[in-house]
Amino acid sequence: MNNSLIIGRKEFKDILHSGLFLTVLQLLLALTATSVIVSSLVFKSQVSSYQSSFHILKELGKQPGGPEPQLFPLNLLRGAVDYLEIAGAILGILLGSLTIAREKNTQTLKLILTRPVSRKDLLFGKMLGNATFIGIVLVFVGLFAFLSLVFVAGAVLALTELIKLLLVLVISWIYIMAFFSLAAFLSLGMRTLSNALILAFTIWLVFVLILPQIGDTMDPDNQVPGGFFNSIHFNKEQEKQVLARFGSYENARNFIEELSVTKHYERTAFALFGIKPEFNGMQVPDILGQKWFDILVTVLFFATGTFANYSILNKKDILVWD
Amino acid sequence: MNPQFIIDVRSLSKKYGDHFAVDSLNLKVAEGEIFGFLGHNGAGKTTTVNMLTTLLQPTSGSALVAGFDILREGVEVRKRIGYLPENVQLYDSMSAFENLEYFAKLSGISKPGERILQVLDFLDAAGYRDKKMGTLSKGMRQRIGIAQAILHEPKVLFLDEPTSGLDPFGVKQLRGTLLRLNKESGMTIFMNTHLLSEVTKMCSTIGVLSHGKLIHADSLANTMRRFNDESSLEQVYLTIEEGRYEK
Amino acid sequence: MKNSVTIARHEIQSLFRERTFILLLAVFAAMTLASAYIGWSSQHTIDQVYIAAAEQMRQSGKVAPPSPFADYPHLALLKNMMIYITLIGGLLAISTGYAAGMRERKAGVVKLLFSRPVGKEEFLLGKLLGIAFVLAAVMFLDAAISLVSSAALVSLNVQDIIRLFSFYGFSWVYLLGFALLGFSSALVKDDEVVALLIPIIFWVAITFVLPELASALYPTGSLNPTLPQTDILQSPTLQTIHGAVYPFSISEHYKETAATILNINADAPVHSGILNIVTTFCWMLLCLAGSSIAVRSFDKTRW
Repeated sequence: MNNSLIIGRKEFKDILHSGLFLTVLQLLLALTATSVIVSSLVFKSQVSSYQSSFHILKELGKQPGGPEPQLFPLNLLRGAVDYLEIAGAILGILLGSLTIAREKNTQTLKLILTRPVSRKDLLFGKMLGNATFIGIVLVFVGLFAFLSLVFVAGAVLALTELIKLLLVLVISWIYIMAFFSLAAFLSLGMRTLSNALILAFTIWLVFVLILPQIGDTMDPDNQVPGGFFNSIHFNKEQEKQVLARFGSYENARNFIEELSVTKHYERTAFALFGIKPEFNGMQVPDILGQKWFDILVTVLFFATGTFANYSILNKKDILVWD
Repeated sequence: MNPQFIIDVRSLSKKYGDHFAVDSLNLKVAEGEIFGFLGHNGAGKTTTVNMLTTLLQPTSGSALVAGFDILREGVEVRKRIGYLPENVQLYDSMSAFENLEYFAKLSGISKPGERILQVLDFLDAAGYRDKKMGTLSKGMRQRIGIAQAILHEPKVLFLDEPTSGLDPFGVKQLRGTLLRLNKESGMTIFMNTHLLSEVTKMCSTIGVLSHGKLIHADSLANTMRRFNDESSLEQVYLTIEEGRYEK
Repeated sequence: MKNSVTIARHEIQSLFRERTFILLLAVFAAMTLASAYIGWSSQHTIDQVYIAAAEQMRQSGKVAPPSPFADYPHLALLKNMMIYITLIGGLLAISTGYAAGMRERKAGVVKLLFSRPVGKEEFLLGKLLGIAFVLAAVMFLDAAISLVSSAALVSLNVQDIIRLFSFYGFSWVYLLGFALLGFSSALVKDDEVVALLIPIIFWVAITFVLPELASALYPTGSLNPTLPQTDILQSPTLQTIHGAVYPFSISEHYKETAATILNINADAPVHSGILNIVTTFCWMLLCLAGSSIAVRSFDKTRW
């Protein structure tokens, strides 16, 4: 354990020293701020268009239909979740690849492993340092999201909302660490580092972008700008009735989405932020109870990655870093 | 275990596919010796060192290093060895001192400051303690590399082509350092090398590896005596190697 | 010129021998094949969904509006390809350019190469030809796959085929920009990982961030080929941001032009079409200029 701490501390210092990560941190903060600003502007424009049509209808002597759009501050963080999905995974991949690159390029992995250090110490040390860094980045992102909500959107956050924000940060942390372990595994196992990096990015592309995209574009409701059912004035109930007849198609669509760890992460985060309206009023334990499977898949992805690294590091009959 | 032999290798083999990188190697090195491990490129010298330093799992056979089994007692072996691979760079962005501190801690020295200064003094490198590794010359890097390998006062020091890339001055300095280490602390040195002139000046015993097999092992003096027709170790070495090929 | 051709030929040979390039190419080809089927299957299902919805409306005594999916253009089933070009194509292009820029450095032959009578201009031209050819070959392969797979699902006329090849030709221009970006970055950046990271940051910005700023699209929303409705027109601030950012939102320009070429964006005004095309070409030319500067400042003695 002591060895893991020594390795972890050095790992953390290394990351802080490389200017690259200041850039990534700034990028993530800028993306969070951008998404909060754009979302709150969109929300404000929705409110003002509601109000103007409300006045027109009133002047015409008609009863305006539908309630005024209500602000759920955490809804404004949808874009931030999207960015954590995409850029967070990139950060994980880069850290995972760099942590191995640092040792491979300098042959220092051989030096470490000829010390009384077990390979488990090495793995946990590396994970500890990177997990701490990712944790700190996420704390900054969370703080920044909170401040943007308060100062840009003028929102007031209740305690439950703060807890939800914190939980999303925790699940994001597991999600990013999963990509970290994927990249570290590939960098350990493959001869050329840049090949390992490109392979990691290919996997990222498939899991993070392509699979969710296929599921999304197969959604009948997404075929018309603004939503198909909306365009023919169907409500949720009627939509369900119609879609019930296309069970196998919907199942296939869902199956494709289920293959992507990103979608599971996104479903959990979206539920906690109440992006789907039915989750807005729900208590935290109920949301977690409903989303247990998505949380489990995200955790399993991370656990599998960690185990894979452990196995490859223990495979002593090949020198994985030569 | 035989206490006289600090390295005791028994039928050690490493196989990659159908090819034996090291083939049933039997080798004994007595404590306090400077052992020169010779052989052509690809003979299996580095693979042997990788196995003796517990980096690589043998396919069969075993070995004791400092009295501990490399297969079952890896941690105990590693507590007692120092290692310097070929072309090691250490971490460029860290100073010499920081690099040494890191490896000292990983060797179990909790407050290594004083020891580091002592070793740097010994290696005549005290002036470079705060210099970033990336800014040091090849020779100075090699000295810091040696420093990291001896910080924890190991019983055996494994060196893989330690003179590669050094200028004659650097080679001479390194030779002086290693001889001093051997003499003052009785450290056993196991050295893979190509440079036969250095072997003549330093080693007490030599072993010659060819295509994974040990084809010769004896003290340097005996070796030279056996081949007294030959004028230099280079000639002796070539005769041994060529003899092997004729078989 | 002769040297450039030699360099280009070597580049092409090396790229097609790289396993990661082949892997990305395979993913790309597989997605091209899948895209026609996904397009066809979702179109087919949505038609059925419309019929079911219309029937339900008639049963409750309402008049069903005309199907928004009637007269779907033939090539609409390829609409996902616009997205795959921006995603997989973008990454493939970056890795192609990056590999071309890194090759001599990693093999340690920079000094060897320039100790021959090879000028930097010839080097640049050779690399450009190599990259451009490889991307063209990839686009041609994709066009062939799309042609065969769509012809198997719907009947195509000559005009459709011309549109299909023009679409891939235009995509080649868009992707060339990313490849040149990867190439330049590999030449000027010392650190291998940073050199790959820079074009990827650009790619994230172009594919996700600019569309969000310009059109208030959620980052994952920009992955939907059905151009979504946004609320920017009601907000003066968003309109101002749109005015400032939209001209630079290259991926949006690409997607809009691609949709027009595939004939699935029939109501797009002509002037915006011209802006779209000009911007995409400017992007490629800008990256070309960047490559030229990168080669000029490339230190031949460094590696």
